[in-house]
Amino acid sequence: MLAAVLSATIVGLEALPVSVEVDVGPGLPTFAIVGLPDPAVQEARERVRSAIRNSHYEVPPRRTIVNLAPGDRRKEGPALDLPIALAVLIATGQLAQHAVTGHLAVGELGLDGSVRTVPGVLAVAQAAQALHARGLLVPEANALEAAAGEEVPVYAIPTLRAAVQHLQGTHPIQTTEGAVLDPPPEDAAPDDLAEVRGQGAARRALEIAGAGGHNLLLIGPPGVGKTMLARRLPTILPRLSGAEAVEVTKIYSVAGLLPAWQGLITRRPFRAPHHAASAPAIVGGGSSARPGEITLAHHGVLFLDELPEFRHDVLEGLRQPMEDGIVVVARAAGTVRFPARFSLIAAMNPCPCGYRGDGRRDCTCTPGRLQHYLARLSGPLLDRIDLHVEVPRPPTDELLSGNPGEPSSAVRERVTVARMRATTRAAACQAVGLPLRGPQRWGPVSAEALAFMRAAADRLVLAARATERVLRVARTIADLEGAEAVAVHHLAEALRYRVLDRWAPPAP
Amino acid sequence: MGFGSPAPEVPAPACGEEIAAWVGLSRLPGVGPRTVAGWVARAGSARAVWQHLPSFVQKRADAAEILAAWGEVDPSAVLAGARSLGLTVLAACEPGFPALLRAIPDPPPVLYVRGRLDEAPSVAVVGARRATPYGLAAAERLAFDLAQEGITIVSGLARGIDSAAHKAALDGGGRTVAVLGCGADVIYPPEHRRLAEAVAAQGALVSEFPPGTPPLPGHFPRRNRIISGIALGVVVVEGAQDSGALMTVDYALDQGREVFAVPGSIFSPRSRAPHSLLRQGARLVEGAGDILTELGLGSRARSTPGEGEMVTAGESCAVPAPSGGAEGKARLLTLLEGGPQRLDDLAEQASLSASAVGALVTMLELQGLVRTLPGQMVMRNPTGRGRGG
Repeated sequence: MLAAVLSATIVGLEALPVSVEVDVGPGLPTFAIVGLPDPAVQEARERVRSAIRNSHYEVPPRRTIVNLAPGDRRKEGPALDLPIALAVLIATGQLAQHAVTGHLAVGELGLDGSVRTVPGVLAVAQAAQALHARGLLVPEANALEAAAGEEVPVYAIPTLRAAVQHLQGTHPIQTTEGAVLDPPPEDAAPDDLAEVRGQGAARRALEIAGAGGHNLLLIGPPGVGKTMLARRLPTILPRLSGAEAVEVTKIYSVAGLLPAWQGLITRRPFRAPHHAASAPAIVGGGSSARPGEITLAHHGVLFLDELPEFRHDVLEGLRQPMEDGIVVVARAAGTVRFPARFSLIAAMNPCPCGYRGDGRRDCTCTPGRLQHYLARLSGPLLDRIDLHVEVPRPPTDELLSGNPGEPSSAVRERVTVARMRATTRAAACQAVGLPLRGPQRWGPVSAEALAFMRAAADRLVLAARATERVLRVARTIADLEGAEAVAVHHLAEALRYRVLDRWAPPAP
Repeated sequence: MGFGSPAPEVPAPACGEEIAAWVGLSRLPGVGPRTVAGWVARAGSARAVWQHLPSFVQKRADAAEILAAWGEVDPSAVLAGARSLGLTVLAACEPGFPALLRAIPDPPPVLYVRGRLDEAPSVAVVGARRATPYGLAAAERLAFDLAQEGITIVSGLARGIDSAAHKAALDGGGRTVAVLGCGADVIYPPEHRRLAEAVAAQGALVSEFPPGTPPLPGHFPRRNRIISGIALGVVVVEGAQDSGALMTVDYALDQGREVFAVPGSIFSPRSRAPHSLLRQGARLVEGAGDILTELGLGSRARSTPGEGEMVTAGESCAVPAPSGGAEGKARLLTLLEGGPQRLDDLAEQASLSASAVGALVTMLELQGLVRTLPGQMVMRNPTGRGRGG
């Protein structure tokens, strides 16, 4: 007898619908799976047979063929266990086909028939929605996640037996409720900018970075709080919108990083990969095209501590995603696109020994070594970092008794308002047909400010590109202030955040 | 100023042969400047020494080597080689050779010069390579002010105090001479290439070592005697207990030069050298006036440093002074009078936001009135105007 159950497998970030067909017929007792299964799918044979038996159903000793359609795409992972088991039960007459038709099922089976969590359930829910499925059967621990994004009825399945009884109508399971609020309520942030004492200039740079979506480089001796500052950038960025939260949750779910029983991720992600990480780990890819750190930082913050220690190919690999907000990973069976729109914060010591400008200890670096160290930074990557700011060592008494800084919530308000101004200006540009790139985007710049900028660029030997960065940052500073036109003091402040241009001025 | 050394008489216009002989003598292995000076004093001319060299060296253990070199060295080829590199070769007998240097016990037989040496009074400014911001500021202030008085600043083109002194002299529109421990066509340290070009254009790069000589450690002590030898006095700005600057001072004392020292912080190990000199009787320097008075130079000598000579905001600077913020700028400049300050502290003391203080400091920087040091420290510009602006 022939049976078919709908399921899905993850390709990149998306779920590809898979039809699981089972034919049980006369012949030698075998159990074969065809249709490009990977090893984890092959092993479903053993899990499915044990799970069926231990759920008090039968596996008749007959010739059983499982086909996974479409047959030309590779199927990965154990998520197909549950649909295979259901199809076998249908094919052996233990479950009615009509009870299952229109449902989509995913889940890994334990030998005892329990249903275990699988990655990518949110993506599967989206696929089920697109197919207008009657219902979606998912492991219990994934139910909140599945219900977070879509309207398809989600059933939390604890065991194979419970799934069968639910489908037969003998013990129906309640649908899991989930609603997407916009913006979703945010769980209490453990980090707050108020905990950072002193560091006025760095806090200000963080606020500008947040308001303008600028990338930021923190330069300072070890142990002055660069990581602490970076960690707090997500807390001053505008809250995730509902759609953004779904996107982020989907990425974490596919990567298998979503904790069980978790619904939507509502806080902006913060990723801090180690500098020894490989290019596939950061950018994404590898044999199974998994999202890399930059995709995990989508809508959030990517923090690269010890920037000059990162491998050159890793940093080069960041350039294209930073430009496009998307990373394209090529693999044997085609290309996969992952979103990667993140704010970059990088940190580095001011010199190889780390004590340049520290005051407490002498720097032992020769100018040659310092030049060599700075030269390790990839020029094209630096070009995409608008703000460089020094984070000096604060005096000890400031750490102990300094006043707590402004809380993240206050800064977030200003950042959100500034972002709205920029969005409004961009929309206005678009309305009158002005290009979004180029000077128009900066809005009006006072004549005095232009003269100042020209003189400053001359005097500081700024490259044309650096000059443009300064203008962009000045625009954000003006937005934070609520000013219509970019004025001299906006530019003057923006010039402060070009530390590296001053340390290593471009050759004329 | 007494120079108690057996100096050759002021030379008659030197003929080519005499110059060639000096060049030849400078290339003999194991024969130092003091020996050459002694021989020439005995024989009356370098030419005489060169022609009768075997009689001078016969008692020496290394006579064979010296005589072998004597046979091989071709002074005219050396001269031509140096000239093809754009270097001037000055033998000790020539009128252009610095008179003060000729009078020291061990004058270099030959100087290779890029640029131009003149007879203007000069002062050496030397000190630590790894200097503190204070030391650099002091060196700049002194060199700048001395240069404006027409004094040539002599130093060693090293990192730290040396290069700060050269740069400030150039900024002050004066002349400066760098004495090198390598060939005059070799620049060490390499990051000073541009500075070296500027020095050659507005003064001279000088070396006793033939072109192409690498900067070996043993060369630097030797060149220190030239630094003090050219100058009327030596100013030590910063240095640790065993600083190379103290070696220059030893030469200066041997040569009868004045020694000056700039006091430093009692907490800094870089103050050990100048403070020990002060204890031994070196002149304490607070400003260029102290040096000028002691050396009897400079009618316009100023006795107190600094006060009231700061360029006021908006004046003599390439950057247009933006309207507004004048009050804030004045307040910041006042706060900075006591020395460098952290940016955050400035903001707090001036009751300004981090953003406002950042903008004001940048404007002051562009006007050349202040500087930002590594570690977000802000200090007033010691020379009162920007560098290279």
